[in-house]
Amino acid sequence: MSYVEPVYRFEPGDADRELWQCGVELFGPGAAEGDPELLRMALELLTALGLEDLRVDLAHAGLIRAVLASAGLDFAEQLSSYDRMLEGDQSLIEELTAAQPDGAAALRLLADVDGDSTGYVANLRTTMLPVVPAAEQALAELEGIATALDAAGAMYRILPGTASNFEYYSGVTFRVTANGNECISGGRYDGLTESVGGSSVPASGFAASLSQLAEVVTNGESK
Amino acid sequence: MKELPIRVALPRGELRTPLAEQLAAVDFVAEGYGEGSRSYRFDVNGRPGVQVRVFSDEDIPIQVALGNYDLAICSRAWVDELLVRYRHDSIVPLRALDLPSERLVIGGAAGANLEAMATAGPVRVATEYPNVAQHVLTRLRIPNVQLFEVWAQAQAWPPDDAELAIGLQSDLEADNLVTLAEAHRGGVWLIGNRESLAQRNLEAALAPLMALPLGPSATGVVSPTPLQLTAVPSMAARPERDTFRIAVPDGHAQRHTVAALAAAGIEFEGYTADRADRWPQSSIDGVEVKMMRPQDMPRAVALGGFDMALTGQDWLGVFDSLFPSAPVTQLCDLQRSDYRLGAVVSEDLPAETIGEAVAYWRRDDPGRTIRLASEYAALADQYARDQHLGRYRVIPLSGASEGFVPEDAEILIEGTETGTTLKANRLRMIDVIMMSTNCAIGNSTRPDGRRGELRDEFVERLSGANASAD
Repeated sequence: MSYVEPVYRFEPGDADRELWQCGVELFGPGAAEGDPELLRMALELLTALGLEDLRVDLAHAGLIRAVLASAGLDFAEQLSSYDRMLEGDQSLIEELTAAQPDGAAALRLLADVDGDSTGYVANLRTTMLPVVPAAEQALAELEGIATALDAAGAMYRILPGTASNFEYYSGVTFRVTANGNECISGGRYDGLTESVGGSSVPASGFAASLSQLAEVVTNGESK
Repeated sequence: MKELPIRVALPRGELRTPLAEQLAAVDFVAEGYGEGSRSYRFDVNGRPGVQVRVFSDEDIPIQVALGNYDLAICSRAWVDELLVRYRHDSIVPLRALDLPSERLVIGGAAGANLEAMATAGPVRVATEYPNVAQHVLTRLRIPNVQLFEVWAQAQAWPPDDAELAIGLQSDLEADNLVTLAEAHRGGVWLIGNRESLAQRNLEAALAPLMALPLGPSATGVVSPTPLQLTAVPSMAARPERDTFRIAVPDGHAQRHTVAALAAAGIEFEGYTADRADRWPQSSIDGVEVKMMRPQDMPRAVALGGFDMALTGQDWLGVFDSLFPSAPVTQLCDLQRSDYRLGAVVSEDLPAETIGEAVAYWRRDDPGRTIRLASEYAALADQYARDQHLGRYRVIPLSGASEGFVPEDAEILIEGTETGTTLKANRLRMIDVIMMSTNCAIGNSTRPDGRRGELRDEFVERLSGANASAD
């Protein structure tokens, strides 16, 4: 399903609170099938708009969640720890390493190293699975999407410690930039339909702010 | 395209035996590594894409930071010596290992007290770990520190040439220094190159190395509680000494120096061809003798701690390339221990001059970086500029240098007395930078009074006796 709709957000000051957003929602296919399809569509869309230097930043909410859970943190503690990780709080890594010394290598790779290959995911797997076996599915999903992007010849980075909206997303998250400007962001949220009273259905999607996208396209044309 | 091997750096020295045993237990066997083979490179049994190279422990972090090696095992203190200064370095510490390790401590003479020192005047600190030292001393809030980065034996400096030394606890205690504070908790770690971890599948080496027994994670640099100073630090200058101080070397230079002194009719009790006390005794009134590493003598003389030191012209040249205006000069040539210092290349290189060599290396790629490895990093840097090498990189080393060329560097800036070791490693010297013999050095300005007279007397006797040596 696709849409072009106004959305309403709180913005401080006099900034517009009504934004026009376009997006795609994909219900049904799981990560193995759905994630590559969704990303291919996002890249095709931006290419059709004439945008260049497309780059994909990938993350996976489930990876961080699995690591934090294995360190014995409950959900509330996971959320506050993840906020600290996003803020670059190095003492968090020290605390987590002290709690689970065997997980130091996996934490370092997740928090400090930006990957750009399936090799990186293999290194995550090597360091993480002996300590955090619950991360297996997340790693497989990340590897699947990296392999698909390799096949498509797309440029990408894997920044597993930067999954946006940790509570909302359940799987791979991504954002696509053109010449360094963010154009599209999205990801997998398999728990969404259930959380609003529906039946459990795998779901993923992406969205773009129309005004932001128009600005990037216009700037690209004027160069 | 051929897949690049996964390159793993392992330490030689005391870590080698216990590490080899642990590596065998996780099926990571580099034949010959544990036995202390003279080879520097090893294949790993059953892991065809993995290569092992042996380095001095302290050289390993820089090799990983440069991206020459993907994974490595080494002492955490040398890792932190880089990371504490260069926060965004390319090294990722991965796992603390259960291997013997020692902590770094701040040591001083018996009865020394950090608070009292900090208020008494400038605190001179000798160490091989200047970055770790700076980190710890800054956090201790010692207001006036003079940090001496030495090549070796920092423990030789207190109490007369420095108030404190920072080094391995056992080394400091062997020289009767007492521990005043902890500087680094030690530890041995598996580390990785950031780019390699991001870009390459290292599983063939990473998986077995991650299975090595876990060590204590409480390693690394300490952040001590600041001293609570109750008095205003004194800015008073150190009193002028009245003894004539002379430094004599240990190690390879010792027998040559003993022979040079003997030829001049000078003997120091406790300093012979097979004995080197820290403070040998002189029968000459007003003369004080101290044994230390010859590498550190030019600095000790420049700092005013010694009136004369018996070292090598190579070390004077290295110091001069670092500090060209330092007040140190050669007083006389002892004309012993002939030594050539120069550019060393592979024996198989089809070139007779350094110019031909550079042309050969760049025949297919004019922008190729020429790598120069050396214990004498400043001298190597100066040589590269003097020779107009263009794009080059200096790789600082502390040992095991013979195994570098040709795989890890194109040029080695190295010294040789007979050339035997070079030949054994299929190397040859293509360009001589300097001829070096042992020499006496002193301050550029002659001291006044009795010290000046003694300096003249020593120079005269050493010059006269050794003019006809060899």
